[in-house]
Amino acid sequence: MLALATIMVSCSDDQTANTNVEEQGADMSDFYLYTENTEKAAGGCFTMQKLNAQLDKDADLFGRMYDIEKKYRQRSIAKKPGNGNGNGNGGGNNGGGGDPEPPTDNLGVVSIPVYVHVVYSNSNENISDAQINSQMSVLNDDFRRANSDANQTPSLFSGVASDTEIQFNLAGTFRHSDSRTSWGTNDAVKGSYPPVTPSTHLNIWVCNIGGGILGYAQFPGGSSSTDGVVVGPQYFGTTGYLAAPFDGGRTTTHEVGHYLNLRHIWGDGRCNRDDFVSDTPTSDRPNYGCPSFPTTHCRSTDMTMNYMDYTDDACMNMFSEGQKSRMRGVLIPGGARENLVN
Amino acid sequence: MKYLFVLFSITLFAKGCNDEASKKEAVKNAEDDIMITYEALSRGFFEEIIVSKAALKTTKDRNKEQYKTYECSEEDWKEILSLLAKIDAKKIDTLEAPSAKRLHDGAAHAVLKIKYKDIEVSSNGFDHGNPPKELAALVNKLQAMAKAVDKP
Repeated sequence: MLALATIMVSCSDDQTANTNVEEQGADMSDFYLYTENTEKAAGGCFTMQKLNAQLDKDADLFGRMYDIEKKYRQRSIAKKPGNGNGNGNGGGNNGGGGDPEPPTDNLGVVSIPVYVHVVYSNSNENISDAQINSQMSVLNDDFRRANSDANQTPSLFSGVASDTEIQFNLAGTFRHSDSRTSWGTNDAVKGSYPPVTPSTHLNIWVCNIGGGILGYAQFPGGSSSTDGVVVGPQYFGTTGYLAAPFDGGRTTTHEVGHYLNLRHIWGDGRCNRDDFVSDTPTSDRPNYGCPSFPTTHCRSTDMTMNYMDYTDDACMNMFSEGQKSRMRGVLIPGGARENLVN
Repeated sequence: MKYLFVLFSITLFAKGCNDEASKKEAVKNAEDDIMITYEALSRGFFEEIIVSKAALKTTKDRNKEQYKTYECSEEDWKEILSLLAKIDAKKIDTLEAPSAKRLHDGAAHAVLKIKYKDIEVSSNGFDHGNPPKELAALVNKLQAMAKAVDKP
């Protein structure tokens, strides 16, 4: 019993040892999708953990995501370090070791074409072109760090705040009247109104989701028939039919971050769970509203103003350099979303 | 603290609350100090359900300032205890979530916490609406109790 107690002591500590498992040069020991890595092991609490077998139906998805991650990390190892060809690897990577250095790429500024599907059950939900355009502006401002509130980033983090050099252009809008008033998060809207050329275009469905969900995304590696992001009309853009405090278009910025392979900034778990980005501090929870600065969890200051946290639209204003590299990692040749680049 | 934790898990949760043990005075008193909390949160959604022998409390207030408080019926509490007895409390932080929609906002992030006096154990996070099977009966019971009282 005492032995058990000892293991529990070691495992309840935030700063747990990381048992690295080398796999063809890329350390994949921390990759996760479904499980929370708290399996106890002698000498450390962090063990290589594959996906649990119960997830048979999603096993293929995990396999694809794992491959994407592995490819990204192997490329990162091959390219690293210090051959910086000017793609803004802005440093600041102190702490949080083990994460790969970002790959360098020669893509320059990437422009992703976007299709918007407006699915409405009433005139409010049939949002205006102006509202759609206002969302496109927010996406471009946020991803290019041209957002007017960029100066709100605290100096602690401004050094790693990034212009991702990814931008978006509206390629077309489709409008569908439908009596259904809420669509849930099971991709129903995509079944009724399939994505248009999802390998080359980001598809965004604007429809009422329900259940308190503002928007949801699909990671790279998922089925092409459901690829894209879904956002509720009241949380889309900055003018028109909107609901505060999510009226600044940042829900879409956040979901497109997921679409381009970003995880939630706190890693969706306890302190030892990472978002696979080294310049974002460790945390064990989302933040909400407009947190005061500094907000500390897991012995470091949370980057609460990052688009991948859960704070209000008015209180988020940055992606990090590490996140930029992660997103561009799926756009470079061989990446899971390389066809978005033309 | 750690020793106490182990002791607590084994004596109370492993053998406690079954028919034999519940007759014992010590366990009866211990029941008064058990509190179970279910929390589900997303960027635009918050729900907390707290059940103890004394009360059922619910809130949708993320700041946890405004609660609705109801009586926890003897029948409900008995069922809660019997469901709790089937759960190995000291292992709920190792149970794996059967789905991961919360990672891309397709579900709220849910957690179950079991508290005894000052000691609290938290489950791993899981998708709201799809708990680990070991916790499903208890989570469903908590949600059913909240739904029964929280009429709009």
